Amino acid sequence: MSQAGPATAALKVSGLVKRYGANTVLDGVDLELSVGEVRGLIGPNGAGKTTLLRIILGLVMPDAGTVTASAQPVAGIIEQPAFYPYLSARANLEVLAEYDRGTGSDRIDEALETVGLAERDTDRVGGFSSGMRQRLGIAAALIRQPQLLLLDEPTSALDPEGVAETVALVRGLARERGVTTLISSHQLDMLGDLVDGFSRLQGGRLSHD
Amino acid sequence: MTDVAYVLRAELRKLTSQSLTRVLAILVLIGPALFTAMVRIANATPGDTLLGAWVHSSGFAPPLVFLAFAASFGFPVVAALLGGDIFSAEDRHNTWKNVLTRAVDRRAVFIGKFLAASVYAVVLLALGAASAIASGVLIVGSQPLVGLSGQLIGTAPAFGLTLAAWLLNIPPLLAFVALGVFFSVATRNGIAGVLGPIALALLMQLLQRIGNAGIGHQLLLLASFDSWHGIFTTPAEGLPLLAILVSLVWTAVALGAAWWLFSRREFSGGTVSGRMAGWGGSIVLVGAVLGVAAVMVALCFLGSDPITPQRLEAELKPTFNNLTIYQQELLGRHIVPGTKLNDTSVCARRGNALDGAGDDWVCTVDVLTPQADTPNPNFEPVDYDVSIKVNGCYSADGPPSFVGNETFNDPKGKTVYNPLFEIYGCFNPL
Repeated sequence: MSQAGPATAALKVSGLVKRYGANTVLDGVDLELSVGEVRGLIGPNGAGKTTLLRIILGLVMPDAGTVTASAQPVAGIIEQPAFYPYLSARANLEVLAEYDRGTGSDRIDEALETVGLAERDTDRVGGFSSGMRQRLGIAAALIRQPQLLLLDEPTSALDPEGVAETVALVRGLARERGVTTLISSHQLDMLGDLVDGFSRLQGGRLSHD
Repeated sequence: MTDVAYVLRAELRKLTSQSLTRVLAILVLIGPALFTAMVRIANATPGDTLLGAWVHSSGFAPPLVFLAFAASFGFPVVAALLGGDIFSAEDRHNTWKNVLTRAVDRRAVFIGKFLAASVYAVVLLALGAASAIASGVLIVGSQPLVGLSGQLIGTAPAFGLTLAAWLLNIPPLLAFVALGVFFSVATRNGIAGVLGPIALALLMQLLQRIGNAGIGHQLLLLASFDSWHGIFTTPAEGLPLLAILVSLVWTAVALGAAWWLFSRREFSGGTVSGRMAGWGGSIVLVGAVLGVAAVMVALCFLGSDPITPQRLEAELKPTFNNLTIYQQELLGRHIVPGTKLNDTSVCARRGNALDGAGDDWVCTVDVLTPQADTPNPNFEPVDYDVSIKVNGCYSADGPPSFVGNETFNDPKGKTVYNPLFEIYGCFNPL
């Protein structure tokens, strides 16, 4: 099952197993991404794509296997981005920067500008649309200056214009900054314009092309 | 800066940005001042509370009356509101994936969150203390205070002791914050996180009415809020080490259990995967809480009861003497220091029980009364109905024909509270 790995691995996942009760979600998953690679993660609903991303991010503990992320820092957007609704967009990013030991606070202006929320930075997130939250989620990832970016359905709540912007943004990060990206989505047409290759998760196992 | 310091700063920013915590700050700031002002304007005397009789006599009494109320109900609620939602709020907003995928680790997040709730709780307590003491002194004045043994405490020591009384509430306050953290982590629900510590506080209040006054009651966390009584008695007790130790143990156990759950938790979105999630987890949690409650009930009956007739007699006699001297001085009569105005006191319960807390005690005090037709004073037996609680605080009502009215006029014509109208005092029952 193991993918033939490139010389420099930004991310290496080996023999990952995850069970919820009798249900084996991941059954010996191997994955290796080279630096700057953009890989699409596809598979039917419930195949374990989000679980795999959560394990890589450290939110879920595997029953077996290892995850080695040489590319640091790692940032991810899992499902719908969530924020503190009583804080402004800027304040949310400032709080997240604190969890990053204060780093990234000087990149907030740039990140807000990049995702087109600079004009709404003092508005409370509670009043944001899904698309605006998605863009703020990307801004939250950007302030980390990630070398490994994990995106879970990043365009599911976006209109066509938003999808195009996100695709351009991720492509720019990969091409210009060498950010390694693992992106899960059902929108194959969108992924087709973006990724270097696909990995399909089905029945707990991962196949690569 | 350490990782914990970064988390602390982030959490404090979140706490101070919320409407609830801002309202709490306003309430603790204006609450004591409003209480003192209303008591003054309405000329009301909350005589049925500890030190309530002295709210018009000394500006240090209102902050202590307010403290007693806050300790029995307000502090557990404030602690529960702060600690009980600081973890579950991340579940409600679905923001754990933001917090836990950053540079700081879980341990720093856990410690930082507890510290943030604790810092905010202590700041609220400090605001309440400052407001209560300042309003008491400004509205009533800085007169000496009658202590819990009937002794008169000068202005400077009364100020220091009042401040110390508020500060002594910090350890149990933080223990209730820790309980809030535990319920917040275990239930992942803000409402359950807040209601858990409040329910425990209510249970402890109920338990104060059963069992004996032995060591067991002192192990209930709520009793630690009463530890300041000891510094207002004669002889004054030192630092209430037992109360501080009890608070530390409750804090350590609650935080230990919370960390055990939090460090093992999986953040798998909608999938039920955490150790305490689902019906199984709920049953374990309810079982654990019921187990703690059963232990607390058992503690209330631990050992023999230290409130005995001899103990009460020994405590009541000097208190009565101190208050009689104070009454005579208010009437303009000079009493030589050390004078004994009562001889003996004999206490017994009306019911079948011989010892323990209750409201059926009768203490007969032989009171020195001047005789008009003879130079030799006479001792007159006076019966006081005494009600005593497991924390060692009591009230004693004398016969109106002997003690007189609630107030009388001093030689300058000023209306003052009659110190013997109803006697309030406290002693350490252990």
